[in-house]
Amino acid sequence: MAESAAPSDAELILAVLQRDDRRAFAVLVERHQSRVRTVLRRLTRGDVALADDLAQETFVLVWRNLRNFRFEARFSTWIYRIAFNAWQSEARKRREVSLELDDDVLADDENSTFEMPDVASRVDLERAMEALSDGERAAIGACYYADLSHEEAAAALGMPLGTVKTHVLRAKAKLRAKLAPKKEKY
Amino acid sequence: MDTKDWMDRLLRDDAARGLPNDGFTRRVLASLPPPRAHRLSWKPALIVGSTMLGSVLAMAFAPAGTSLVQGFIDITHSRVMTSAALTGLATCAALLISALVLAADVD
Repeated sequence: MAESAAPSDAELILAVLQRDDRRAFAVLVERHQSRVRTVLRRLTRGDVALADDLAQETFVLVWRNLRNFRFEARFSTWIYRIAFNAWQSEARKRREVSLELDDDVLADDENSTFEMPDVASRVDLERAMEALSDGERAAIGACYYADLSHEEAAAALGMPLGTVKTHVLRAKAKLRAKLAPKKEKY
Repeated sequence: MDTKDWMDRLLRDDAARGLPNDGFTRRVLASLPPPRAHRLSWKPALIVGSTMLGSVLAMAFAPAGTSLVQGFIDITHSRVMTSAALTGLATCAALLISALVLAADVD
């Protein structure tokens, strides 16, 4: 007999709403925790403890506000929006967070092409991302780690679409500049 | 986004690396608000209680030997002030209260 398919996010959400089903919610957490925690680790410059605290806060807020989810967007997009808000609130408590564009000029090698670097250079990526501005890390986190479109990222982060695109371009140029010399070593 | 770019691939590969759960789900579930046990228990009690109260009141005002069927017959003949008719009206009121309680509980 064929194995039954895993329940969809929508089915699990309905189970939570109708029956207060915590097992269904556990499946939702299990399904999305990895990506949400990874995004928050990048946003918090690799602060694992803080990222996991924010991820936990995010899922508790998801539970409390699940009735407000309207099924108009992907469930994951909705979760990331909550996660970004949690990160921004925390960042504001610690210091002034700025998602605005800074005055940096784009790196000269923005359009240069490199071969795929050695896998070992991936280890340096996390360190390189720490050098990005808040807005750049947020844009990269949304578009690559949360896998949102530019439009979805703009909505989730509460910034104009053009700003998101510029942040992504600048962030990638900075990362290239930082990681390319390391590639030479391999 | 240019997927041919090695930076794109590096970022996507990094994003795709899964994190082990390490008890994260258990910690989230432990921090959720307690289950809604109270809400489930008072609802049927209120419905049954209000219905019983209505029935008791109807029985208290009904003289011995009064028939509920006779009451409804009286009501259809516009004789609403007879003791049997009043018993029927009181029973209907009890049912109406139960229905209102149920309707109020719908989310």
